[in-house]
Amino acid sequence: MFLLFMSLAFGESLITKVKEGERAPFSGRLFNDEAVAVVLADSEHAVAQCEIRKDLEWKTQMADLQYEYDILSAKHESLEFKHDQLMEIKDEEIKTLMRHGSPQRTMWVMFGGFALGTATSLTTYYAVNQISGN
Amino acid sequence: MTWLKDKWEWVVAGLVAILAFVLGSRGKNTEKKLKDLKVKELNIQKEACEKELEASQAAADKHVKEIKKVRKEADEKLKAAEEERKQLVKHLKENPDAIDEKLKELGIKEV
Repeated sequence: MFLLFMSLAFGESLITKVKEGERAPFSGRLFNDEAVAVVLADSEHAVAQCEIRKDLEWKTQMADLQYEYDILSAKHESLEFKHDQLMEIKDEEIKTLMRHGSPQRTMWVMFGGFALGTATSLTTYYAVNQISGN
Repeated sequence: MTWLKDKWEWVVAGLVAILAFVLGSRGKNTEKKLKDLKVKELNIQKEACEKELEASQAAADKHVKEIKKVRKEADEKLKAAEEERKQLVKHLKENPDAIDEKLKELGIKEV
């Protein structure tokens, strides 16, 4: 009885067993065993449900991030491939253009042209002289 | 030799024409090579795009599969939890002592 008064005084959660027809020792709600079983089971179920949903959310986010990573990885690989291949082509292109129009070659062409022109002029002059002589 | 002296202009003109042809063909070869390189470049860009598309498609398929798996697992767990709840209700209804034990665990004092 003393315990009951103390508990009531401090507003603690209390429960007591009563039989049909007995007076309740304090004000409150009277549940039968079936109702209490449902309340207790629902309480445990809510916790389990929360854990499952939290796990689902976490795994979904992980899958989303993995997807983003895979997409970026695909882009990276593609760009790397393109870069390597294009660099090779550009190197080849530069070499070809250098071979075709290098300053050194241009210089030789210029001197060659000059020498050829001079030789042609001299030959023409010589030939004309020869023809005039004859 | 006399023929060469007589027709020297034609010989010189022929040599100049051959030289011009050789120089021209060399320039043409370079152009052809540059054109081939450009075609190769375009093919590489196309190949890179195809590779990226293929990898992206594979990543999307993997993602869909993973999401489906995760949701299926969660559904199964929720069903199992629901089943456990029903079992617990049944167990508690049949065992009032178990109810007392649970209430004690929750910190509800029995008076």
